[in-house]
Amino acid sequence: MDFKPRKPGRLHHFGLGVGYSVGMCVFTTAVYYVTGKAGIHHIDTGTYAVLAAALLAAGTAVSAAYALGKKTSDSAADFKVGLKAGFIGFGHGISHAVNNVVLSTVYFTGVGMVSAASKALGRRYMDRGFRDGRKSYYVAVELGGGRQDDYLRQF
Amino acid sequence: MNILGLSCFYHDAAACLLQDGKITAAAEEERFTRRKHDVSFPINSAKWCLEYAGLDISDIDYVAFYEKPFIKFERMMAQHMEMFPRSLRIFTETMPAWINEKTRIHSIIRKRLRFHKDVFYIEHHLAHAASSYLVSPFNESAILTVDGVGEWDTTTLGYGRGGDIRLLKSIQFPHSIGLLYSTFTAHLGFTVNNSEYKVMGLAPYGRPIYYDRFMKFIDVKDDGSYHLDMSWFDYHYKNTMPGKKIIDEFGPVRKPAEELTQHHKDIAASLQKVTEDMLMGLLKHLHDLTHIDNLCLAGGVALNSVANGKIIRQTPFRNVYIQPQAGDGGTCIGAAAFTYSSILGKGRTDVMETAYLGPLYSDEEIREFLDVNGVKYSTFRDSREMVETAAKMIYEDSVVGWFQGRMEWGPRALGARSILSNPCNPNMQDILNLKVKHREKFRPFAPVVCVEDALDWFECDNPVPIPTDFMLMVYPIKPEKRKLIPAVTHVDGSGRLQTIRREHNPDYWAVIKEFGRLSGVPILINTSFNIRGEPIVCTPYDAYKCMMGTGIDCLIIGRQVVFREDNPQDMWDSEETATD
Repeated sequence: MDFKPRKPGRLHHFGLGVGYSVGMCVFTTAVYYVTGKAGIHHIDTGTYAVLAAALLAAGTAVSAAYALGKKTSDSAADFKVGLKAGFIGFGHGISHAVNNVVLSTVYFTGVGMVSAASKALGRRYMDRGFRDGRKSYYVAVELGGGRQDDYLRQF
Repeated sequence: MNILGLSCFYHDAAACLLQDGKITAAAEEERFTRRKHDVSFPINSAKWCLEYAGLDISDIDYVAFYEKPFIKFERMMAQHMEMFPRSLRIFTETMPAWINEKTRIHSIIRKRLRFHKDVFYIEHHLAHAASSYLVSPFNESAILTVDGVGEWDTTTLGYGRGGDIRLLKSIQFPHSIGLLYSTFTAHLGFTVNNSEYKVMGLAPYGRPIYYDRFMKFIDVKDDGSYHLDMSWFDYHYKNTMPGKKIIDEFGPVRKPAEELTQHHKDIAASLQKVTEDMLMGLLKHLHDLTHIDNLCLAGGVALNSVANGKIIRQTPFRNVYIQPQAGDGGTCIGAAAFTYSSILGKGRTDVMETAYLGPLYSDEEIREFLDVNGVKYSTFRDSREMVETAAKMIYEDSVVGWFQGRMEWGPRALGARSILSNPCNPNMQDILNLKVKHREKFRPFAPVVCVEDALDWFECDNPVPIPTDFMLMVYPIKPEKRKLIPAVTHVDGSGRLQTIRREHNPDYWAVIKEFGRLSGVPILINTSFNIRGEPIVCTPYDAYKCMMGTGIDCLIIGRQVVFREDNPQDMWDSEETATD
């Protein structure tokens, strides 16, 4: 049994960088295709292919340079693991970025507008009252004793 | 009738199986995935529960979930409406999990478990209440639940009678004792939802000199109800919990690597005192409300064993019950028990007297593991030899890994996955820290004592309450005994003891008795069998790995004993990868 945690070596790191680069190429190709269809750009396929290949080559070169700096060596299987991790990592990164843009838009338009309107109408969503003259802060609740249907609902 | 209880997606995911009113299996997901406080859907725990009982998912009649997700979602949206635009960051960070998981729990249960029958959704604090009352020995009991936050409630008061639960009053978010405690856990440089117990352990080193400062932002009424001045806190719209006013009043947030000064210890002491006073206020009002002398306590704050140990002395309650997993993980039991007792009207569920509800490995399985992996070991002739060997080794200051029977349910090791050692050796705390635990020097180790000897050594309530079996009560050690057990005596002379009853774990009980015969002290150190930052071990593999990555001298696993010195000793060093 080998319990020692394995530190990723050169090939793993190289695979990771290549995975990121491949992910970026796939993503930019998708953007190129969609924006081309929409008539946003007029870059021909040949030019784009050269640009994408250059992007991939640059990513691979940077990854190789970074990986060579690592002291431990590993196997081809580790390259595959790194490649997959890089590809997934790029996917997470891009989805995080897109999520941030979309959710920020939802936040400022949806949440913001409702919040502003509610505040203008004097509606509060949380009781933040403190030393406001109340004798008790308890809220009366009736939990328990419901009918079966009440508990089949998620609300 | 088979009911599968589930809790997940907040902290401490877990699953349990209730068969005809009896909890037959329960385990936290972290024990299988080896990720501490794992929140993910408890697929491994659920599968293990079914496997243990020899059931298929088609044999399950109902699934019970520990909260109503859409009410919680409503609360979260209300938070954002109220705190706009300051909550932008937390909105973008948390919303993907809500969209992908938390509001899709029904389809996740269907998809992951292939379960297509009814799923019941029990309010979070109702599940907490049920997790304690319905498995308690009381027919009639007052109930207090206190945690960070459920849907809206953070504290609820009510009662249970004849298997029926009614929660009558609550304190609602953002006002929360649990979140107050977590805020200062963060301020003291510890991790939230993980290290609150460290603050509790730090408190006796300080004096509660900041009590009045705390009361600047806490208003407690005569009836025990309370509100916090939210201008001091950030947790209702940010991931960082202490607000600017707290930092101005108590100084900057301590960095984890920074030294703990007397100032930090005084903050911890003040926080602990404030928490205890708030809890006692709630409990006195609860007694006035219900006029019942039995108390069932649940929620993460019910894991504050220092406060628990004072309940019977400082309130009118005469009996207390707390379930071993009082935190969120335990709500899966509450959800399942509430479904059985209240929703389906089948009557009370069985009393939970022991925490041994987890995976079990037979001697054949253990030997197969050891043989296949070439581990050198020997087998005891009988349990007598095992007990005598264990006690002798502990008496000779060895550190013994103890892996026996079914794994414990809840955060404490209670003699199934424990590390045992000698409490009489004043250096044992340092030895354990050097060899195995590598934890902060200020944290004490816990003593375990046979229940019939507890009153000779500890100033505990008489009769000893059941939660003491689950290491949920801290009591003073008798002054004349403290010097005999220095390794488990905290700086204030207290000990977070575990009591053990012979019928619940005979071998464990016998080792303590045998050690008592050798040393004159029928007490052992019992600490959790884990590597720092990892969950308690679950399988023989985890136990062997833990032993070989630390300085545990021997592992008694079923009827087998594995000596560290007989096996390769440089396999790995657990500290290289340990994180808190």
